Amino acid sequence: MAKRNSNGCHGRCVDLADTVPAADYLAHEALKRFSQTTEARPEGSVLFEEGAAPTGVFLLRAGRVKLSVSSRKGKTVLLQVASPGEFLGLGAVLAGRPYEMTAQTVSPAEVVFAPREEFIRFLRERPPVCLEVIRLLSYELIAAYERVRTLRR
Amino acid sequence: MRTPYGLDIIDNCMTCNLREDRLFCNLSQGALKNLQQIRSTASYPTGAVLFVEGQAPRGVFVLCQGRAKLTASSADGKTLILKMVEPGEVLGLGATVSGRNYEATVELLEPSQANFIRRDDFLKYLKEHGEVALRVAQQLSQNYHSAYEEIRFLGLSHSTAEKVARLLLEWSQKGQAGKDGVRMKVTLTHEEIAQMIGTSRETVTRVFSDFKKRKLIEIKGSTLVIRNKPALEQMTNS
Repeated sequence: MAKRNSNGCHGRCVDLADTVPAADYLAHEALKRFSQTTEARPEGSVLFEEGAAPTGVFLLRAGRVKLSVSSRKGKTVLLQVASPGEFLGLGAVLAGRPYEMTAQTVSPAEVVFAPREEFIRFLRERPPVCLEVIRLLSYELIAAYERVRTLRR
Repeated sequence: MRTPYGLDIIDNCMTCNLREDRLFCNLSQGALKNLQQIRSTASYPTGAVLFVEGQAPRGVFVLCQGRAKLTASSADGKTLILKMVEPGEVLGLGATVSGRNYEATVELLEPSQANFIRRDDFLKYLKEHGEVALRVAQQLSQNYHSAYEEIRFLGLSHSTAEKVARLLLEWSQKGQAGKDGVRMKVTLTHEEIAQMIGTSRETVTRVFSDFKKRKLIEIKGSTLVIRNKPALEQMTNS
């Protein structure tokens, strides 16, 4: 494994994909590409709403975001609380489907927004990055099935 | 060429005429040529199991023809159907890519043909073909989206009646509307429906009887007719 240089990168970024956990490498690359759209959000800010058209992916840089689903009758289920380094809305954006859940900050937060078209272009141009997204999605899918199993009891 | 299970085997991805509506298979000629080299095809009878929950991931299976169900065991040992698999889907993606054990079992519901691609070959193929990697990401996202629809539904609904109503409404989207209602073929047993929604067969049978008594549905053999769709819609949470 090469030593980290002053950027915090290993010498050859392609190798990074094999040695660093998926999300870290991906967050690093996404930041390099999209950091100019970093925004500060106050506590209680809604990043996206369940059922809305997928405008883009959010990378959480700081703070915490709660992900939930709710029914028309007002019942809400909390799915998880996201931490810095996590991607939000990835599934919806790639599938071209509405956001599956509502994302709302539970603390002051810093997010990077990657618009849908540009994010997909980013993946198309960078197969190693795309592979990491696939890895990340597969972990999330497995977790989703786990969740289904728990709820089925 | 026909096989013992009565299937017409599709010998070559490049000349396959089912490709066009399939997310994964509809690739450029170059990508298809390389795919053809790394896949091995086989036909399987009804009931065959492609992989079992908990097994180490050997690779992915592309379901060329046929139908399958994806099942997993719940915390208390019951079998749950996670989803039904249609032709064109790539199975075992999550496990193959992440290196984790297969998260579910795949069992074939009819004679089927599937292409197997070894894990190493598949990962190398993805690295070399950006367009395929993107399609795989899209399929995973669609699976994720469906899983979340399920989570949302399970988290928010209460009774088995609600869940059966929702399932019938989902199926009715592929049914035919007529003057007596929406008709569709139901090929799952009560036991399988129970596995899909996480309840007992007896409860499902009771719900169906109740729906029939209330004239919400009518059952003639394997054909189900929804006579009162608005009533079913009112039952479901959203």
